[in-house]
Amino acid sequence: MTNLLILDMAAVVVPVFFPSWRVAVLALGVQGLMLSLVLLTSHEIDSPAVVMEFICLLLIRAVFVPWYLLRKTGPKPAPGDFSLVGTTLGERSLVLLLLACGFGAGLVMGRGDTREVAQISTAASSLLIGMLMIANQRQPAAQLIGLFTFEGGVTLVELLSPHAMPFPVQLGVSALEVFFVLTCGQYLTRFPEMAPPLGTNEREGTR
Amino acid sequence: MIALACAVVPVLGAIVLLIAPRQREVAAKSVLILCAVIVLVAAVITTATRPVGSVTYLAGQYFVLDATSALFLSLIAIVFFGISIYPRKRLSNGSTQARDEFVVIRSLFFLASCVLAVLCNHLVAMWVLLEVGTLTIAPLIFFNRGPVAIRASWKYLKFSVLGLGFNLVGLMCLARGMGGAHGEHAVTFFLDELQALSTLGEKIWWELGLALMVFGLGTKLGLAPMYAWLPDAYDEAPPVVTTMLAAVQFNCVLLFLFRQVGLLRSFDPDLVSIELIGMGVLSIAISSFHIVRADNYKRLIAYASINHAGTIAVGLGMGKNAAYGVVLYVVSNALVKSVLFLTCGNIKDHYGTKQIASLRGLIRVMPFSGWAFMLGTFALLGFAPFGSFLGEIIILSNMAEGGYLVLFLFLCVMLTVNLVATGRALFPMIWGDTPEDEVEVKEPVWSIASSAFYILVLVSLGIYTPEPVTSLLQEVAATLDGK
Repeated sequence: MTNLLILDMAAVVVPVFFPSWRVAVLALGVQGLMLSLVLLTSHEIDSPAVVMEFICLLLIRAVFVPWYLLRKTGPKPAPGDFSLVGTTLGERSLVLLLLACGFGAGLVMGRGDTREVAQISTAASSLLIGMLMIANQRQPAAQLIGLFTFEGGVTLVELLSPHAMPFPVQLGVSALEVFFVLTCGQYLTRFPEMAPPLGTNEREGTR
Repeated sequence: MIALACAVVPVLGAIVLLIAPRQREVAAKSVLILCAVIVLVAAVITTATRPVGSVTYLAGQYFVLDATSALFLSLIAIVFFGISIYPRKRLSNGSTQARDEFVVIRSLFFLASCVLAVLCNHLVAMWVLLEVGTLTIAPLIFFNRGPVAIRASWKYLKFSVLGLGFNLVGLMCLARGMGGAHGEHAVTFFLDELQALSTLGEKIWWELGLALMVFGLGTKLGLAPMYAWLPDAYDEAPPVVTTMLAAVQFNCVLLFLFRQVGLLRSFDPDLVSIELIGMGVLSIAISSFHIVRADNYKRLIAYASINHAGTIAVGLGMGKNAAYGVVLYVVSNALVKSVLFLTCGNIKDHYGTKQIASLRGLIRVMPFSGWAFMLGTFALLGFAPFGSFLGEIIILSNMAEGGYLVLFLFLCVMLTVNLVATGRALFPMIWGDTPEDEVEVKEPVWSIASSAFYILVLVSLGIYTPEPVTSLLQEVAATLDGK
């Protein structure tokens, strides 16, 4: 499972250093695939709820999310315009710092259990880097990737806990995932209107 | 089962509108009112016929009707009824009924998700329903509007997803604490089963979980430090949507917080006090600063909402005797915000601006809306005889009795600052000299029907609260201490 978590972490970090809309969206698919494989290796597939969760991760997060986001994308950001955490050395160093914090959290909370240390570290790093993408960028497209990265971290924490969700609740969680993606699609088509012109410092929400 | 009808009826109404494309433009508003009336009647019957102290489980174990769910169900039904009778032309802020039907369908689904969330007995299911409500209402903030509204809506969605995400992480930490490292213990999210547990397992996990849960819900309530979405979303959304956010969704999230705080306090009565008081104090201080600087009346009320959320958090953090004041304040707060945000819609429609400086003598130009706005402002500031006055007094007196003197002083200073700042901004807008060319608007009485309805309930809460309502409020207050 550790290899799967390393691949998941790579899917979070690679788009940060090689920023492109297509790479970022495809990396979300890789994250979804890794999450579904983590579920497969860490839980017994012995109840309809777990089967539903696996299907949700594989079909929705790994396949539907990247397909739908790429399909809904309007005019793509020019390669130089798209960035997930900024392009300066300081901003990229911050990503490494957050990775270190994530691993620190894993060591504290995992308390020597290798599997837990790896899983908590990856989850905490995903949450922190996702938040950085949302907070640091004014481009809604980058924030959208940040939201999905953050959600990936939440799912990893969910996989860590030994829960057995009742089937109707798991069904609701899966349906919610689809609803969330569809709602984001509504915004995606309006992103060109939302993005403030580069170089401006327009104050939002005032009149 | 009547309680569940409160969720089924709006869904049926929305489905009828979806499958009847030819008639739906005409029927949208009628269906909205009909559903709101049925939900209100069903909620009142459910609450009135519930024996004191009883807990009834519905649909297996997934839903529960206890004092807390009964109170919030009635509150949501009252607020939504007022929204439904708000004049047609302001539903979507658009000019055609075709736009209204979109708002009505989403509003009905939103109401259903909120009712189910209020009745829910499973923490993760409740979380799912709150997120469904968020996703349903988010597009209504920018519907038929420009880039500023789209940005406000996107900000709302971002903060909501983050807040609820943190809350879910908190719940999962709780589960990890309960279940142990290798799942050796049973894990549940059903509230009644959680309350029956003797321990929540490893302390490090459930303490982390608790912190994340409170922080996440604080974000969703608009508490500092994650409050930035609230003024933008409330300011940019159409009046009915703002009211749904401020008085319906806010209370659903608050109920979720009540449930979580009540649950964890049954294990340790002093839990989360410091966190809640800290977030509350910070929210009150920041919002007061913004209220002093406000030049837009709708934004001012939005900041006052953050201020009120802060007061609720402080009261909740104090626990014990302040709990009754908190519950009374929560009920009043929902009605005050409904009056003000709906009246703001009337004012904006007439003047075409939200700038305070452009408005003078509202009470002479728009007598009905002016009176509603004036009474709403009095209730906002905590004047007698409104319920908010009584709630605030109970919280403050318990603060002084409990020895929280610094906090008491701080709140008194902030209340004074808010009173002066709000009065300085809004009183000239209400009573100031009217420009000579400004003529009185002939407002139909029904244009403030919903506000009048809310004010009536508010005054009755402050002057005379019937015994069944008082005992319901007391029952809810007792659950906040984990009793």
